[in-house]
Amino acid sequence: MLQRVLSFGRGISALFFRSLRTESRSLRMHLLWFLLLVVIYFTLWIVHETTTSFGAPGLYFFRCVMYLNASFVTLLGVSFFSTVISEEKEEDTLGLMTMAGIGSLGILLGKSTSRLFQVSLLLAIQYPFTLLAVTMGGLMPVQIASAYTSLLAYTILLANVGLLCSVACRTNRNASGLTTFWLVGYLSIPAFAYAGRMYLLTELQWTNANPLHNLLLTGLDWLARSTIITDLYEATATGHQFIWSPQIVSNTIGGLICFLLALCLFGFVAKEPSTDTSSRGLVARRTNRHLRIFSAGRVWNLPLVWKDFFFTAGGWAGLIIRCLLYGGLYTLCFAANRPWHANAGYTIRWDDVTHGFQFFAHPLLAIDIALCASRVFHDEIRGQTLSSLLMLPESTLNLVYSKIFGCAIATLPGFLALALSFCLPGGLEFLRELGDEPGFWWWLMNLLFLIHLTAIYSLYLRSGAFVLALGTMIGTMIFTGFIMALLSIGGGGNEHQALLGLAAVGLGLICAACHAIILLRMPSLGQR
Amino acid sequence: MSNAKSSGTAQPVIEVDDVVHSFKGRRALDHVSFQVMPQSLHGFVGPNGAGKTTSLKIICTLLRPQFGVVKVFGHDVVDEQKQVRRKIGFMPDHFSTYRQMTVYEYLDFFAAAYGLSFSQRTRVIDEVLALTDMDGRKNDLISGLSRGMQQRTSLARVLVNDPDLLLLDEPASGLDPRARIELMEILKALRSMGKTIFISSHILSELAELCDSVTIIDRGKVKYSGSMHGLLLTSDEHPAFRLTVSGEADGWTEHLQALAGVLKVEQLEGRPEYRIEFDETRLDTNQLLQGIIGLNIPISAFAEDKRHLNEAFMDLTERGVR
Repeated sequence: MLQRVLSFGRGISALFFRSLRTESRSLRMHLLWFLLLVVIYFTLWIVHETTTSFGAPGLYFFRCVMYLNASFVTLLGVSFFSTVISEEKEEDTLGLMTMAGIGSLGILLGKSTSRLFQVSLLLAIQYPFTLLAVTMGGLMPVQIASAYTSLLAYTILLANVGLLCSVACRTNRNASGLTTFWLVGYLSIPAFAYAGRMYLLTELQWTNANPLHNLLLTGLDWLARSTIITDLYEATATGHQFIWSPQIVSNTIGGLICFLLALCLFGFVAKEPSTDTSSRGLVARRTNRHLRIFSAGRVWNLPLVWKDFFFTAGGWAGLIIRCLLYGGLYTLCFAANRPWHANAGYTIRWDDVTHGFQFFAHPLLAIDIALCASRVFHDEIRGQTLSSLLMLPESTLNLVYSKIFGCAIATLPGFLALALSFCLPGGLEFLRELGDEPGFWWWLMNLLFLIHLTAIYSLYLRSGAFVLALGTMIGTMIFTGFIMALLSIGGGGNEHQALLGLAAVGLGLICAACHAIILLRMPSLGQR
Repeated sequence: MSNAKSSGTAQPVIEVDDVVHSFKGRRALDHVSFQVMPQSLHGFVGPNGAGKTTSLKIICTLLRPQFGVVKVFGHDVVDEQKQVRRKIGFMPDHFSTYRQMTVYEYLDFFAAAYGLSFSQRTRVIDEVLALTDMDGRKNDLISGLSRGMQQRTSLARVLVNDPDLLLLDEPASGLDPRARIELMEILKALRSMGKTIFISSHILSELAELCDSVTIIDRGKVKYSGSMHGLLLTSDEHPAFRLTVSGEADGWTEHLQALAGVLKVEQLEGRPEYRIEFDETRLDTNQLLQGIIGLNIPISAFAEDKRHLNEAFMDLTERGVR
């Protein structure tokens, strides 16, 4: 028995230290730590510059750092935590670990704990320094403790959700995708729960007097407060006292449940090798009589366009799904603006429906294109097909843009939906107003920046290009926002507008440079 | 597939002249020069890290040589990439297949990429599928095929544009003996169709049987380039034959040595076999054989004394891994 325990401990410690050593040698992780440090210093500088304008600079600084940490942990969740087991599957090393006598629990603990340990250590190192924010004013030490506890609970949850996804999926990309999908749910469900609770309280006049209503309202309240966003906000509110908030409790328990689920699942699916995972996605085979309409058919005269339309962007089925997606978005905007009560006394405002649709359709289209961009070149690198492609009697320019065009056709429903929305009531006015607004162009350029950056990252990284690009885009937007805030404090009239215009032009130039980088990078990748 | 294209002139298909290429300060190719003649099956042999794949990538236009000139069918691989690419088919050392496609879609895609019309594609794909014996699997997903089948699919892809020159990088690596033998049969068929095949491989026994000419490269330097026959001959000065006798093996050395024109006879240790070196100016092979028959020696076999390619390879290359 003792021997088994000792052997188990040796296995865990071997994996733990191996992971630590491997991560410490990774340049990417050091760059990420460095980036976090730079942003913290930048925040400190902003606070210093604006110290006369805000009442509680310490609280302001601390809140910025906390949200920054939460964003950072989120970013790690979809890249660092979610690849913990799937990377071993891709390397086909899980079987070797099992042969070395390390059990499922040992592998999971040894692999995931080292990453959780590294991130927790990074947060713990910050703790004494953030205590200095108390001296800047507006903040109590108990708030700092409360915020860090929330963040730790969130990290535990995310690390274990990532672990579960990593166990369930065969490849890093799938694991990252599944974690991102979960994150969308984690961040949006509490908002819906809050909206639902408010609806029940104000519209349906539910009260806590009814035990059933009370149970449902309490449940919704718990759900609404179980996200890191609200908990950090509460923890950094003036006069906050430490409590075991729903977020701390639910996230910690959730993390534990995810770990146990991962442990149960590990024996069944984790040992499957990552090879032979190529699926046709939404493309049916010609031999399938019922779904033949969704098959790729014979190759078009523009073969690269054909290939990427079907095998990167989903083909006909993808096209239909996109149509349904934009149709659904419009229906949702309509439902949100529809007067649900007969006695509400107002009619539907079609302008608001159109504006709502346009507001959400832009980022939706950008995300769709960015997801295609993350695959369009990366799939060729991963499948080692780039050399065969570059051997075709075509220029690299032609190859690259044919592939992009193939994806563009599949994302056509988004473009068409946006174009149609300008013909709807209020659509054109909205465009006219925004046309004069540099902020709108800055926002559009940010979306373009996201797409280009995803494509660039996918040429250099093994996985997580989209998430990293999203993080970079948000970081850039926050940076520009801070600079604008500084300019506003200075009282400069149109300076912030000019800055937004300048930022939009800058982003446009970066996007153009991205095209050049792709064209230069492709042949060098083909040489490998 | 076009058959037996006549080369007309004896201009080499591949001309590699004094090529130098380095990676991060390490010289992968050091003044490499060799030629490949039309309609030949040319083996390209060397230990791991010798520079085989680098040479192949330069020839197939994926890599620019840092120094020197490489011409394929007289076209410079740097300045006339498109012309070169139209005439060659390159099969890398990995499968390089779209695993989510069916075999037919994959071939159709590359045929269309080479600009073949719809009807041409249908015909060519049927032909290459028949040649590679893959017609029964054309609707299968590539990811579901065995290694051997995937290799055949890869070879079929190389053939869709009917190239005159095939560049094959380790085509038989990882294949089981049956798949390997079948692949070699396909290569023989392709050679008989007039294709020039440049094949890099580690499987020396098969290369010796298959290739007309060979280039041996080690540590970035060409150690031998020429005919396979020339490489396998044991002596540069005089031809030699091996005589295997049946029955009593000993006692024939003096009799053989006494034949006119015979320079040296040695009995191979422990075997009923003699190695006979002779002066080709005084004696030809027929006369030598007649002389031996005249001695009433019970002959079991009589063959030219050749080294195995393994021996030649070991003699020419240096010990150790790069």
